[in-house]
Amino acid sequence: MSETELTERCRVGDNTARKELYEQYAGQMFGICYRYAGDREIAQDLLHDGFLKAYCSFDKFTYRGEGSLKAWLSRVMVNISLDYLRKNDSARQMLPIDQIPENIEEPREEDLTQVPHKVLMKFIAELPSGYRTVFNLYVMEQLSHKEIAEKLGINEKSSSSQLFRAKKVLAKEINNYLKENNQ
Amino acid sequence: MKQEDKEKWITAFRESLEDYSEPPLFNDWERLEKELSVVPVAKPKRSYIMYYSAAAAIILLLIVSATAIYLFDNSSDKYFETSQLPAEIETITDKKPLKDVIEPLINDVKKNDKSALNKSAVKNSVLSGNKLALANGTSSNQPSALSGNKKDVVNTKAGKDAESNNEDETLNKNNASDLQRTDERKAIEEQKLNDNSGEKKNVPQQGENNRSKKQALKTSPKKAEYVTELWELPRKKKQKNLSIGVSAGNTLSYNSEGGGMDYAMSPSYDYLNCMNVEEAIASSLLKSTPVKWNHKQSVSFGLSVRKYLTQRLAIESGVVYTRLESESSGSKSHRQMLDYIGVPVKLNYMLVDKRYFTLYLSGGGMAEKCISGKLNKIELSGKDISEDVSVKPLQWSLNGALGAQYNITPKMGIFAEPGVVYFFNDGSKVETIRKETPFNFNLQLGLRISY
Repeated sequence: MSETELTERCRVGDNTARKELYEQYAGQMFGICYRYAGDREIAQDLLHDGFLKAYCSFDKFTYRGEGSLKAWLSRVMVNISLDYLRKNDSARQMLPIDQIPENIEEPREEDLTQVPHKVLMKFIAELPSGYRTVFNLYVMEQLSHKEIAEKLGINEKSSSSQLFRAKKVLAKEINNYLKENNQ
Repeated sequence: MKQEDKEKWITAFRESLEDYSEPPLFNDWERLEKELSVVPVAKPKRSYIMYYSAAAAIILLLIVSATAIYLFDNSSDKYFETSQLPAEIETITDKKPLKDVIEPLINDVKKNDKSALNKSAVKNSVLSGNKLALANGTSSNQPSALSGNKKDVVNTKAGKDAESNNEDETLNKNNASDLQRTDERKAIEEQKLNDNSGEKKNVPQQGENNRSKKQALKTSPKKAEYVTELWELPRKKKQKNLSIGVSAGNTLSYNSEGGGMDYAMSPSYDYLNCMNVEEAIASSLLKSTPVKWNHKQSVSFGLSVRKYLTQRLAIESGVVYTRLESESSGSKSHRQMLDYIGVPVKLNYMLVDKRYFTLYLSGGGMAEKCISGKLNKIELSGKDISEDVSVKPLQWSLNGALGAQYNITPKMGIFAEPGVVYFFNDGSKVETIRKETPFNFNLQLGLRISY
């Protein structure tokens, strides 16, 4: 089934198409949910809600070429995840100042290739949820601090300081990982 | 490390995770399929549900308001059934009780010259006010103004300033001024034409009416006081119960302070009837006819803009259109319609503020300008006359209400606001429900935009 056909059939509520959509995208969407939730069980619930929402809002989706379906589904998942985080007010969670690592040498571009994706995901998942949310939105979704501040109901400074600390924590984790695995 | 390098590892980070995929803990499709089959979740249907519920809300709103208006109207109808009783008195037939009524007045005449003049005028009025008495050619030969709406004609035709007219009249009657008599005769003739049906209907009640009249005249101190006051202080009486100040160009409907109003509250039927006689007397004396207005409950339609100051507190302004409609309940058909455009300023306090529903308390003031005022009269001749009675001064009011709003979108909603309102006297002579009952209930419906 082509992407356009999939879209059209999902729009009219065809269950075969819906099933195909699920099977095709569940893995990637689960990844997004997990990246925000930091917990696989929660991610599973978010994935469920996200798909349900997507099936119900297909009339809002306009197909704009290859990849647009995935991009749209991803947005649905991100919004569902943010809703969840907002409800639990965990977007504001952060580490006490003294636990922020200082003077961390930041990893090089090529260092990243030596770290398996699953491990990188684990590092993100282990971030305090406030850092994780801002990191996800800024780095992965490429929003500006202004947009993040609006979405999360925090101020821009708080967004950028959380991103700064998130990077520090991740850099430290990556360095540690590289150290351990290169020995 | 350079800034570029710093960002590079982040970019690398993003790229490596961009297409990250991980199988979910379990395949959720079956559960999804079940839920999708139970809940018709397709978005178009959902939006239909929204339209339906919006439509339902509007219909509900209309039903509620219509019911409210109906109930208000009904209660005012009943009210007027009582207040119309005065008119029935006009057709009293039994002569004996009438004599009894008059005797004390005649005695008074002998005592005091000035008041005697006035009183005899009254006497004559009473007698001639009784049509049958006139018809049978009894005690009084002097034609006099008749009670009720017929006197309107007299008054308008005389074309005099009401104040002076009234003062003159008491004297003129006794002097039997020609002009006066001519006018009065005309009035009688017209009444005869007009009142035949009413007379027949009222016959069974007449005996009772007279009895009660007699009784009340003799026993009720309130009543005696009323009579004295009426004769001796016509001005004071005017202010109290009958509004005067009809200029030549204006119609009597301006004097629309319902004659029966004050008595409508009276607990005793008999008392009520007694009062009617006096009213008839007073009317004939003052030559100013009360038109009994049946004011309809006013309903306003508005467009409001609300600005939230805090989450719960909001300031509101807008434009409100109000129509005031009144009908006379006399034998002539008068219909008065006034249209107002007002600008309210209100503070709203949200009690409940949900996505679809808002409940709030509202209080503030409003300035209204009368944009049009029409009075339609159907004259005795059957002519339909329309007059402009628009009010020049601004109408100020204070109000408080409980509002319910259905939010069609988060920023726009339809609302119904039942509340109380106090209208300040606008200084004009146009009678409206706002003058009759300055403190009143109102219902406002409208569309509101919030931001």
